[in-house]
Amino acid sequence: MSLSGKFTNIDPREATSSYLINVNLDSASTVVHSALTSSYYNYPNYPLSLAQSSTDDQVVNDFLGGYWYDTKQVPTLLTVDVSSIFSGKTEDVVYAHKQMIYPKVDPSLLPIATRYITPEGYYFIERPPFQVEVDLYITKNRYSDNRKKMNPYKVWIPWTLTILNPHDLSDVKIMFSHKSLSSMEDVYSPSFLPNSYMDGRICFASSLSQLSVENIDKKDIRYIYSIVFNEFMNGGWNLDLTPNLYRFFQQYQPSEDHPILSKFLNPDKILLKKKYPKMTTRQLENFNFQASTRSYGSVFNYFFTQLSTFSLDETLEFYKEISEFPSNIRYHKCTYSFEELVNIIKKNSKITTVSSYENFSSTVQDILAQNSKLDQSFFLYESFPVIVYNIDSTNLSSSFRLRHYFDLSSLHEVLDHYMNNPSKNKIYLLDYVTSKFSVVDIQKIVTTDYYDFLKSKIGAPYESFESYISFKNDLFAKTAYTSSNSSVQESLV
Amino acid sequence: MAISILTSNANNVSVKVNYNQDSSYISSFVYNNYSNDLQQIAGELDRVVPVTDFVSSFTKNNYIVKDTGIMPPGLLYATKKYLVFEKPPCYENVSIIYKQVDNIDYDCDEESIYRIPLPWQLYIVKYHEIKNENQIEYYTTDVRMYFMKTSLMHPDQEMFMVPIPNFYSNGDLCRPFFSDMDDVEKYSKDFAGVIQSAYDWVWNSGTNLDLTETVAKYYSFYQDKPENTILEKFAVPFTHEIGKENYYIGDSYVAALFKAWESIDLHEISNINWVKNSQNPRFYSDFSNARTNLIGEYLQSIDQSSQTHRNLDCCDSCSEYDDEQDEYINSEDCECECHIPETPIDYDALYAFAGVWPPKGFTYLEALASFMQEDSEISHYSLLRHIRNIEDQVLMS
Repeated sequence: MSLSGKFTNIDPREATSSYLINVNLDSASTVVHSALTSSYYNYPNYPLSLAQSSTDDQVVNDFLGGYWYDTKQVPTLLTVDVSSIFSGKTEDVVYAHKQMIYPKVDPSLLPIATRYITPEGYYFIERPPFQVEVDLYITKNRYSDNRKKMNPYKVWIPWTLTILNPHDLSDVKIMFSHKSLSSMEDVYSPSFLPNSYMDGRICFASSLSQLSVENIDKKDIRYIYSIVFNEFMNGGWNLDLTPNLYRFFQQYQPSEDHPILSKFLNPDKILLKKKYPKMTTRQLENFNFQASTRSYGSVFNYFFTQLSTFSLDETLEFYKEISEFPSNIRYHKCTYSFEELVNIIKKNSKITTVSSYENFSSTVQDILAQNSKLDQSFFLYESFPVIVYNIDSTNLSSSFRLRHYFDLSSLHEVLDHYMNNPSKNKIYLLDYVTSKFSVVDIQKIVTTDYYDFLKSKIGAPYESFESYISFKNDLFAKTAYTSSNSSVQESLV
Repeated sequence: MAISILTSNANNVSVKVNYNQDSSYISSFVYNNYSNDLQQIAGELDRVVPVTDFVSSFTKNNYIVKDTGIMPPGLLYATKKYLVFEKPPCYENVSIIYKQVDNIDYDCDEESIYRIPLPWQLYIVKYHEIKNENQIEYYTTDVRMYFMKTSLMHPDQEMFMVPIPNFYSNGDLCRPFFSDMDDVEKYSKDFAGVIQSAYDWVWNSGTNLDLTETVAKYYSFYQDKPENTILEKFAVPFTHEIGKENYYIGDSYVAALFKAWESIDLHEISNINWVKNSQNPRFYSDFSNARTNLIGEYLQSIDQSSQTHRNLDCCDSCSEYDDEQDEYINSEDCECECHIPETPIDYDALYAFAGVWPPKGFTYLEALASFMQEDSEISHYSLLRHIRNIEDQVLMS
């Protein structure tokens, strides 16, 4: 069996023994590394202390969301999944292919106002204005026993456009507009609510991980949208992110062309006193936008207080005037035409293609299960973990680097061994430098030796090897979808 | 012979064929989704497409091959060939010429127009993709429509038949005639265009008396129980009787129904009762199928022997042929089953046994599946044929 990298030609003679290889940054490893950046002192024996001292504590923010120390000395854990390419009788292969192109009728329904779908699988879902009650934690320490909440102001949410990538629920945008979508030139601003990034992406709480995997598998968009949208709009917001409002109004000067924005920036104190009788004279005197910019909490307090005095019409007019802002403020993109929102997806479509790998195996196996004429040998989905250590982790600080630097030939011996001795109860431990490997039987009672070995190689601060495996499996189950972007590489080997 | 798919996308399948132990053969095939053809296009494969293409071809959400364009609200389902949308209650004009199409003189015959309130409507549309100068364009090819009590909330929600001419009783719309290509080309070539043209096919293409079975069935189903139906709104109570097997009904009945329908307010329309659909395009076919295929089972179910499979050949031996009368005359002592006096068949009971009357109708999911089924039945046959052809070609090469 010979090995080759991605997108290269394979010799016809090699085709029979070709495999799809999927190399993942191990989620467990990512999370552990990330967690230890803030609390490694709790684990005095963890080798990160060495890493920190050698690289000036420089943290590299992996664009996929993980944090890695930019050092050559951190041992790194990878997992490698291997599956065979389709093989079977002509009739069965074509039949399965057809079944996948013409699937059984899908009972799921789209959300009622799905306004645009891209071939990449993104859905643009609109919703008319509605009112919400502000549910915002203003205490900084999220672990405090007596976290405080902002006054539950009632504000109008304008027309929203949710951009949903069902392959990756961490990639959800909520955009605001004063009107329903009618043209590619319509302008949207990002959500002005807390936990919204400047490009409209939403920073979700971990509760989304409870979303039923079954429904995600079925791509029940109505269900997924409902969960995601309600999850965000029901609040539980915090002050983690810079308020978009703050960015928008940093340099804005009230103008006659924008009467509602002027009203927003020049509060009607009489109206405020009437609506909030408990506001003291001093509070009213100090209530202005400039004074509110001293903290994220006060920006949102100003925003929600003012918005709560606006009628629906005034709220929509507010966002209409926002849409007339220049599309860039201080080199930051702040408003987007609908066409720009679509084009952003096109640029990122590669990520979607990669994540579609997950659907692939489950779809094929679904069909296999439904059609007794096809036995399991039709599609040999084999997956076994290979833990690779002794890797120069400088090259692993992003998926881009991993794609280019990970030498698949190091897997040669491991693959050969696995194909000759297939077993689901083994973990391969591969020394990347020497290409030598050992095999751990995970069914066997785990001895201290195995754990010590692993600990010495990857420095995982687990109580036992079993607890590491359990933790890792648990993480994979929880992060299978939300961290799908860390799926890095498929190659023909 | 084993075949491995090396690469594939929605239309192209590249395969490797092992036709003996020592050598293999790699070929490429085009899989045509519309004709369901699998055609060999190249002998040797000189380039392997990225595996991601192969993988993405199996991804359920990749059926839509281009951006949909901005769509009106109400889309419920969308795949590469079908889409489903709903419309809320509204008023629409129905324009009808009270003649069958062959007898219509469009210069002389006048249209009658009725403004009727509609309940929630569900449209299932089949569309076709055409590649035109590297642009993929969508065209509507078939439309189905149902009435609903509410917006579609669940896949098992009941659908109801539309009692308007030119609908088949399973919900299919008889395709309209177009006066020129502009009637086809004037729509945008995206989902919005497909949705608009489907809506226009139903409401802005006129209708006539070619297909009136749905109207006939509305009468026959509710004539004895007109409460909460259009029949209740007749100025003069409806007293005629329309047989349940009637598949055609005259202009006066159609006109009377529309006239009464016009008198209903929009806010009332969601409470009006409708009839469920037939399983076949026509109730007529449902009844015929029941008589042909299920009568034996029905008679068995009521402990009667089947009279549909009588062995008429027995008459050769137990009867005498009367040349003058040109028929067999039974022997007096004949005891063949075929000469047992016939039991009169209760057709109402047979139709109830067969589930065709009162009609079972469709849930949303059943309606969608039955619409899609028409394609897959044909394709399965042609697919197998093409697989055999490919195998032959490979073996002979």
